[in-house]
Amino acid sequence: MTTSKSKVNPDEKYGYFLGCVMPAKMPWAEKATFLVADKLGINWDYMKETLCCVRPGVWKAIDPDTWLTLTGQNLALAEKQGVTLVDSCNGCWITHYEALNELLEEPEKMKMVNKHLAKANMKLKGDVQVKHFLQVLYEDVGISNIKKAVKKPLKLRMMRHIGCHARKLGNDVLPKYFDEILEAVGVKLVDTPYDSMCCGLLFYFADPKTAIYRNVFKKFKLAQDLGVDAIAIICSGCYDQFDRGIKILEDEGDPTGQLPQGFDVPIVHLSEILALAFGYKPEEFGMDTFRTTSPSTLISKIKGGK
Amino acid sequence: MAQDKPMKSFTRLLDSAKKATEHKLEDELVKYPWRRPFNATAPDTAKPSLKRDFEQGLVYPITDDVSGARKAANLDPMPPTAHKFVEQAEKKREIMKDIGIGKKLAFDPEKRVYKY
Repeated sequence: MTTSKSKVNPDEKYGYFLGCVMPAKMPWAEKATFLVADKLGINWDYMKETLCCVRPGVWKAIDPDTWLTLTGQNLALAEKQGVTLVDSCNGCWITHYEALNELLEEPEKMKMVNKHLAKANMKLKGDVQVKHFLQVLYEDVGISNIKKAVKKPLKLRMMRHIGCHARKLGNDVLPKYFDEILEAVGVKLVDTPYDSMCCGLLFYFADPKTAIYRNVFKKFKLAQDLGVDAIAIICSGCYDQFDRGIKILEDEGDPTGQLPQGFDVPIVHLSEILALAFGYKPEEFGMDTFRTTSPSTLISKIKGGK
Repeated sequence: MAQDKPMKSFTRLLDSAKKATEHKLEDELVKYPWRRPFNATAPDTAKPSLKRDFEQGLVYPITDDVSGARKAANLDPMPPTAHKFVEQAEKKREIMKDIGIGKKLAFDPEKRVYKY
């Protein structure tokens, strides 16, 4: 059901690409994304049979042709299913976006990919679109329609973490969309010097201490010092790294002394924030289950309407 | 100094890479100290997740705990990914075999171990 006239093309079918982290670690965000899409009248469903995106930071470094081919398998699936492939994870988006562009620009590589895909009776023509979820929300739905869907403006203070790959098209595209969407539902964004600092996901595999103690704990300490209600994220890869940081803090403590009292600021996905602002109850998407930092204080604050 | 201690989570990651590798480089270096160390194509830090990628087409499994959490979120316990559509993961393995990447990474799909 929609509450506002949508600018979305009714003929465009969106296929939500889950990736690896979302279905296994963020079911609350997955469900919230579907609630949000429904409320905004988007022709939305899962893209089915999906595999790992595949991770550019790993596969591209090991063998670029394998990265192109395995990414081509997911693109071929989207093409066959007749959907616009939509990613909310920046890592998934960058791999689909870059691989598709490379294959369209270099016919020899497209030929190479199809030679391998043929072994699995698959084919990629390149007749497929890739979009970031932020593009669907901002460019297709529009800020005014998002505002119209708001039932309960969220008077919350949040730090935001957009993630590195979302800067691929410049700060005036996805990072700006992220900020404006959050502000459209009433969130007060708190600017910090660490807003554009990498989550440290890939860095962790080379230098785990710097990745956790600097990239993650510094951000956590600042969030705690500022007393924000939450850290808003969009990328599942970044969430995975923050989640790792929280588990390390719980299991091993913090030898750097930055977080002597632990960490209790919830890390929430954009879709959860929108779902709450659109009037959905936290229980409808399992918001307070299966997460390392409980959002219970945030939920009480919303329910109390403070 | 506490910061000098190895990070347990990272040690566990490297241990799981060792478990998934037949060739024991550390033993060999003790036995043949003059031999030049061999560096495999797949870094140890990536081996465990690459192994899962070979096996199920995705990095994280859907365990009973995950299924329970999915139900609590009013979702199907099994996502419509290659976790459910296992034939798509099989296709991925066929494609990988055709590329020859398993050989390059020295991954034996039958034994599910890295030779190096």
